Amino acid sequence: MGTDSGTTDGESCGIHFDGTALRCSRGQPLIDALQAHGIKLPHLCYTKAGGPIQTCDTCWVEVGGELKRACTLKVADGLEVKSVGRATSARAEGMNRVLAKHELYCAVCDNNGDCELHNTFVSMNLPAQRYPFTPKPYAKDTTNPFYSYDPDQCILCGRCVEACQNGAVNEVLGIDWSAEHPRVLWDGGKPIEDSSCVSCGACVSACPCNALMEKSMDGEGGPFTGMPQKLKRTLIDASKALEDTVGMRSITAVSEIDRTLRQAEIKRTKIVCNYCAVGCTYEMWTRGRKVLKMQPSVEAPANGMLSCVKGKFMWDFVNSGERLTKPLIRDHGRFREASWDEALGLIARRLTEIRTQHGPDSIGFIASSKATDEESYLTQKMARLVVGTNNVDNCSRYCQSPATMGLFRTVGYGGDSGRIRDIVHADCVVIVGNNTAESHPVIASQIKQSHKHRGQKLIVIDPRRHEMARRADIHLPLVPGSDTAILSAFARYMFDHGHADQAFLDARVNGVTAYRESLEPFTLEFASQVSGLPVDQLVAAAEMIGSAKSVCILFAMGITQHSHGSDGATAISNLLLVTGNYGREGTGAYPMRGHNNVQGASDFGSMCNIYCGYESVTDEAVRARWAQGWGVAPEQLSNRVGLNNIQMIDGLGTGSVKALYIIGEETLISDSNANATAECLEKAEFLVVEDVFLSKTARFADVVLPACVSVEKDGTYVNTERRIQRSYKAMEPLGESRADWQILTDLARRMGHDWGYTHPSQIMDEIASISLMFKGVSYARLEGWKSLHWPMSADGSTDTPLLYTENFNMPEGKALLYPVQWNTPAEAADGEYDLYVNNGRLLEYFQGTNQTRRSAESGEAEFIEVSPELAQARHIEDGTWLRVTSRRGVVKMRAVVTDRVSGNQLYMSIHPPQAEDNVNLLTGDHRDVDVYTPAYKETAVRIEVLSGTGRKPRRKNNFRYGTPTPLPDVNVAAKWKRADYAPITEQAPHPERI
Amino acid sequence: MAQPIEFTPTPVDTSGAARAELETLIRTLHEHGVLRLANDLVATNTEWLQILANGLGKPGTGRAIQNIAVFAMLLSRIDPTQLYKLLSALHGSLESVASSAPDDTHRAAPGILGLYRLLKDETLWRALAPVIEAIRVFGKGLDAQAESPISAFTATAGFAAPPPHA
Ligand code: SF4
Ligand code: SF4
Ligand code: SF4
Ligand code: FES
Repeated sequence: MGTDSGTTDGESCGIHFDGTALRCSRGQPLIDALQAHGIKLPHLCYTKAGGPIQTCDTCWVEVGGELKRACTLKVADGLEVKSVGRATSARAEGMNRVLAKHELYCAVCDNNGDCELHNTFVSMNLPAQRYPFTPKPYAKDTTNPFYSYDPDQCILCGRCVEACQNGAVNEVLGIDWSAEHPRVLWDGGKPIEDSSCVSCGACVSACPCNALMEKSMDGEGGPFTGMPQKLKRTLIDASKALEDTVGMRSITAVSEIDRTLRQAEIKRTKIVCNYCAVGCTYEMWTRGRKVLKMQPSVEAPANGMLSCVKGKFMWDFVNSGERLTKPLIRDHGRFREASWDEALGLIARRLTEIRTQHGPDSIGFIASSKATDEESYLTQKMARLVVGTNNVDNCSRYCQSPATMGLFRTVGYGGDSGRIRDIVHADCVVIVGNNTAESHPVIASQIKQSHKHRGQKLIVIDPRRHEMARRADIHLPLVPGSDTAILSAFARYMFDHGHADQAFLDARVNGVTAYRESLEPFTLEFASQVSGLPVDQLVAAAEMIGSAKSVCILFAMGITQHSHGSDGATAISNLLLVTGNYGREGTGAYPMRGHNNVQGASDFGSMCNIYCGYESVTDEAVRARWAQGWGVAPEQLSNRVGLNNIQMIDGLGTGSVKALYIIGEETLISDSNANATAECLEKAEFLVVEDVFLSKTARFADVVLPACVSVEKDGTYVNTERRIQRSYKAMEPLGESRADWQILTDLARRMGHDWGYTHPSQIMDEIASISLMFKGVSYARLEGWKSLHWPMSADGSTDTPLLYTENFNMPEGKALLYPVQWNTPAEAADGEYDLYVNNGRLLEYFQGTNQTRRSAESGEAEFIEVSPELAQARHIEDGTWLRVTSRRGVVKMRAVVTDRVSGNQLYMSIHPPQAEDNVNLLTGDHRDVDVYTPAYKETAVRIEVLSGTGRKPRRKNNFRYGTPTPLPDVNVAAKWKRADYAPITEQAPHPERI
Repeated sequence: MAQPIEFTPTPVDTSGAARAELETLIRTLHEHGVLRLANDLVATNTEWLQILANGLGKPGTGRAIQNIAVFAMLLSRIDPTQLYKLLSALHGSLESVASSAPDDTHRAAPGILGLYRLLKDETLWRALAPVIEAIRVFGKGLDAQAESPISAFTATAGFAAPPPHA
């Protein structure tokens, strides 16, 4: 017995495990505490993420003379745990019962190598299987395109149910313990394809065995797993017979050898998802170029064990035959393949000629929000240093610039105030103009968790009745464009009804009086009039916000893509300031960034007015520092604000911009008024596009350079939380494709600037040596799952997960209440164009679909949502062809009649399979008056019903039509009540006689 | 004016990066005639594997493998010193049988009286006792319920829990 038994020491306390004294953290789950000491107590249904489910009975220990499930125990002072004797026998009995539900054929199983069931029973060293495996009377379900479920392999641990019900909170899965042969059920018993399953894959990642498996693993897992099923069956039966004789140890020895063989072949690489800005990280399992699966990890800071359909399953584009692998040069009206030498030589020559002839500002660069931080940095370095212009921008101009402006005006940093964790811990979450469940699904899941289990209040302000709106405590389906009026009316309500945080305002905020005066027009009645919402609903929402201890407001393109989007974002920040909801856990403003690195692209300088780290190009001291860092005289760097994306495209049209260099941006699809954009692109004197595929924009280029994909290079990305994360190279670039940083480095050398980078870490070191904001960043500090939230201390030892805890990034360290007015939208429905078309993302697609269209069901993104009222009035039904006409263009679409939209509102996705389906053929040139972001959400249209009804644009079993089955948990109590369940209370002997 | 143009890239073989090494390997295998054999095997892979598997699955083969396994298991459990002693004794006795001269008195039938005398011979009974015990145990073993050998590792005696379904 150790001397520290039963004593406590702050957070740590002493326990005894099989007579050995251990120091552990008080309250920590026992299994985790033991693991930290290198003791692996068997367990199957318990996970860090899911907690104790108590279904597997493999974790028994003895405490105080009683058998207890270790997964239910937490570290407490003086806890004495015995894991030997009775407990060993009880665990063996539990495992034997588990094995009766699962056929062991590990050496021919694709899951061996990552199978917790295999590893656990091997670690228990069971001599034999006590109960024979009994097949269940159900067929394997292979109806989902990405994963399958095999009831015969299912041990009924319930981890998948926990993951779906309480992790992802999609509430599809359950186990009916009253059934004769229980199994996992989808929506209470449907085939997977007919259920509400969104294919997020959380259940698949959670499954400890092969019952739920990625289809990408089928026949790929090991050296023997590719055999036909019939052959496998014969071998399995033969080995079963052998097992009867020799016991399990000899058989498991074979599967252990197989597991070892697999490890030699399979590479596991930590990568950052290259779709949205949640910033999920995974271990990518590859064999050569074959992507076997994506496995999330409890260590992953943004997502833990969660995932969405894109990050978990949509990686087939990596090996697509449509990828560009050689540079292309436009030659007599066609593309021909060329060498890198020729292509880069041509670009260097043409850019130099154009600069000489028309000056540096006749050239522009559009950086990629999907490329790495280092690549954003090099794009702006190329523009500023090599060409000598500040004409550089990224796609945040299309979406997030108004959000950044709103935050710059009021609190000072253009990023989320805190972490996803803060959103999770908020008392009340308000979502404005963001369909989180489809655009940021892994954040949505975490909100759904808090809403389901922690009593978090949820308010959704959105014209559309999407999933989050349906789940909300209060949904405000406002008239589009009336957000600023409502938010400002809420702010006034707080002052008028004692919900303003006066102490906070006095201590930390400037401009209070002027702001309060500016709220004069914003009565609830006024807000009600412009938003179409009843006053009592507005009061209820205002009360919910005002009385909450902590509030986070999430917002996205529903706010920003308006002609006064910056004002909308400002109004959000104002409301948070009035209610004192900044600088504390569970508070703040969260502009939900779109692309995986839209935050980083701006942070690292690809903006027309700032250097890396938000340093103004017009500030002489800043210019001098960057010039010194780059080894040139300050005069060589332009001190004029450059052109943004929109202005550069316009400039092509007017002839002021001659050459444009676009990296990974699908400008033709993303920019508003696509017809006008196409005309401008056609007029470019010289257009270079770097991309993975021949995008619709690349078809206009003079030179197309084949870029490699994110998993073929090293680099860092910044997610929506301002979290910088490293992504590692999982495989070599395909064909002759190259990383953007390599392409830019080579091009700069040909234009007289030999940067000499051989690895992105050198670029990051340079950034840390010049910029103020990123001084503390280095690859070493971002190793593995580690990450940093900017800004960091200069030595990188501390970062800032939560902003504004002491000061705002504003003069005097004080925030500023910034008065805004409400303005009518630049384009609204009228007599001629009587309807309003909204647009946004779908869960299973990404932007121009260059990456996702191969995996996603084809044809499911081309539709226009019509409300039941409008459908009835205009005789429209599901599948009716509609001609949709705006002042700019026309598209032809089939209708989906749904109550997600109401009245005269229509909705289209932003994922057109073909250029002619693009919603941006309809959107216009009206833009945010402050930052130029197109007002995509202010588009008036009219429709004509065309004769003939096409096939329904959505399958009737699309997950959106499913009926989820919410459950609080796995309900293990029902299992224990079964007549055939015998509690494990006796010592289970298993003497070895021979 | 640059009109948009199409281009269809030639798909790149994504099956592996070690092409150069592969080519060398192929050349060597070809020179040594291994490739043709491998080709034949691979071309018929599932058939010959199926034949092999069918063979393995045959009761005879299964029994053979199991018997070999039983021997292997038993051998692995016998103390080598004892096995050595046993084999030496056996060897010695066989040698003594082979080398002993024919003895007519011993070959003669004992006759009824002789048999009666033998039954009362204490030395003989002492010598035979272990053999008789062994035969008795053997007989009992043969009477016992036939079970697959492995169940001997996992006796269920004294354990009450029913086979699980839940
Ligand atoms: S939604 Fe589908 S994939 Fe996601 S956890 Fe639920 S059942 Fe699994
Ligand atoms: S399918 Fe679900 S219940 Fe079955 S073994 Fe996998 S995680 Fe457990
Ligand atoms: S939520 Fe976003 S970052 Fe996470 S896996 Fe999905 S697409 Fe990737
Ligand atoms: S891990 Fe404790 S019962 Fe499953």
